[in-house]
Amino acid sequence: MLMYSWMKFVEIAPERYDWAVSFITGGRIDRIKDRIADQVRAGDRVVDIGCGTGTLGLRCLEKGAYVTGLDASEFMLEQFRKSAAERGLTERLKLIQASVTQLEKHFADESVDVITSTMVLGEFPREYLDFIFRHCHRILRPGGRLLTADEVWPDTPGRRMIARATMAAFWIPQFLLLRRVTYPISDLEGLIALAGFHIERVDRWPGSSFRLVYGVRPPQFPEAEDTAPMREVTIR
Amino acid sequence: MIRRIRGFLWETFHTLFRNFNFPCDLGLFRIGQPGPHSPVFLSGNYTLVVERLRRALAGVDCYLLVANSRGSNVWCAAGMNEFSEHDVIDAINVAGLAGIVSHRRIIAPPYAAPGVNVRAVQRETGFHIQWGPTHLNDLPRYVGQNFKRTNDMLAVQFGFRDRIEQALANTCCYSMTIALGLLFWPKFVLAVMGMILVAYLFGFAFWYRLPEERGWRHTSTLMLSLSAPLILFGVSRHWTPGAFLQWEATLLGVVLLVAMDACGSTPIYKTTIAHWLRHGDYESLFDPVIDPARCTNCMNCVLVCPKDVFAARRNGARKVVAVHPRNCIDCLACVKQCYDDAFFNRSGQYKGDVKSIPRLHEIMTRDWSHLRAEDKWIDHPTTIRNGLPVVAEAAVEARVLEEARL
Repeated sequence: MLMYSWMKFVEIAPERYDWAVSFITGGRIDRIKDRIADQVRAGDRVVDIGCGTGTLGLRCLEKGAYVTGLDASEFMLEQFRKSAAERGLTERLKLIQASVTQLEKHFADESVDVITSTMVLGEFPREYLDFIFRHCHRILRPGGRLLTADEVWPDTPGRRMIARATMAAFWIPQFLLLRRVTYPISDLEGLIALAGFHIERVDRWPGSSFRLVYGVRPPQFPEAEDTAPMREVTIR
Repeated sequence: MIRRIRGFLWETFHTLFRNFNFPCDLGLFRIGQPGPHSPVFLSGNYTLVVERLRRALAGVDCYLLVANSRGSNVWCAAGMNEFSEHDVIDAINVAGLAGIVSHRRIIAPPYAAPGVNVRAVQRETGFHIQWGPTHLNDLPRYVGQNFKRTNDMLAVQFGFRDRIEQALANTCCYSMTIALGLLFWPKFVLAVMGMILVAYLFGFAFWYRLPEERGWRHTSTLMLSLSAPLILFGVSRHWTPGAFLQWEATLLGVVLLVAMDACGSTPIYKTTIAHWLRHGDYESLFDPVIDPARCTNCMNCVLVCPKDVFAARRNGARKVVAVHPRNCIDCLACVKQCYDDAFFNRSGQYKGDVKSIPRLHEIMTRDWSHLRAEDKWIDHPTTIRNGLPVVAEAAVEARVLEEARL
């Protein structure tokens, strides 16, 4: 019986999902999404990979962007559609139910200005990420940006140990709330760079394994400034 | 020797904790020396099963495509919408399978059927999903028969070994839940853990010997069988009436826990706790009936049903009908695999733990009154033709059946 109630409790409930993600990340996720949305300008063609219930997509829509939300879950998309309709933002919104590896089927080469993804890629292993980032590179216009926010493994062994301990402590509550175990990504910047992106900036948060990586598809004729060393910003 | 001990410990750990998610690596794995014509088997990334699959497939040159089921077994993951066509498409794309094998066939476990839209997989990748045997120990036989599955490989089984493993795993799960109590009432909590273990082991070991659950008969038999040794033990220890009462109540609690445990899509429990409390049985809520006007005889439901609920009509109308709806275990694989929207539900009730079917509520509760004529197929005799169940309609088939009975 206990297991049954467990299952009942943890089964995917989109209406509780946003709250749960917010709770687990200590509200940080909302601030990250605000920051990503700040990068979006009116008229931009934005693709949100794993858009979920659309908490980021809605922010981009409010900035005047054309947003295409991509998610595998019909239930999540339904939630997104509903909240967009409530705010009267459906005009510039397109929703596609598809897998993350199907990008090139749905978007022509160089047809997108901004690709975003927040807390989605953690469940995929390295080969998947490599595949996804390469396809992102293909569909972005030269100069277009890939904004990825996710948990990453820290670079130093000491921090990695702390991260491991925290993860162990939060494993059960996270599993209970999201029914999903996500793993920190190791060498997120490296993977993005490998796909041909220029890493423009990396935002870190002190005491947290969250990172927001700004990747830019280099313009076709690289200029001198492209070779400038990577800028790292720590935000307090 | 050390390797064997290690293997045993590994197996024990994963068996005890089999109710938890242990995801393993995703990707395309080679078994033996596969070439471009070698078969491709699909699996979720539930560590224990992937390991057992590798063992079952040893000696067969093939590929094993491990797709993302979030570390759950495929049946649970498929129902929970955590193992869908998207995960299969992702796995095919990332592995670049189309460039590795020359054929376009993937052999998948039928337990994936409640979640995977095979038409979408075919449309997006060109790969055709063929349902293999339900249980992985049938794989060598399946391969030996040149990838031809017979009806007996489809039935869901809950064999002795599986039942014992499940008993141990559930005990482990519940013991962990109450482990904190060891600090405060060590003796009592230990005794409860022991009772849970005995109740599960006894109940599952003699599952098919105990009476079927109708009017709580299974549960009461279990309670009485376990009470007897408890009373004997109490008498030998000169328990006071109060102690008797306390331990009997504890035992009742444990037996109720076992009885209500995991009412869900399992081979044995098929219902909800509410239904069990009211009716005292584990009968499935879903009572499938197929609309012949919509059925296109694609046979998908027959090919995925693990309980032989359906049979095909081959005399006159070529349609599929539900002959044993009472066998149903509510996994809803048939509804998911019906691309003609032909399913209706006589009971109007469903469990609701299957999340992988859009508009499920509408399908489950819509009016089926135009299908009353279909009731005549319930418990209609069937026969096996080409390895699949067929309704025995003509006199010829009646004679075949008669001979089979003799």
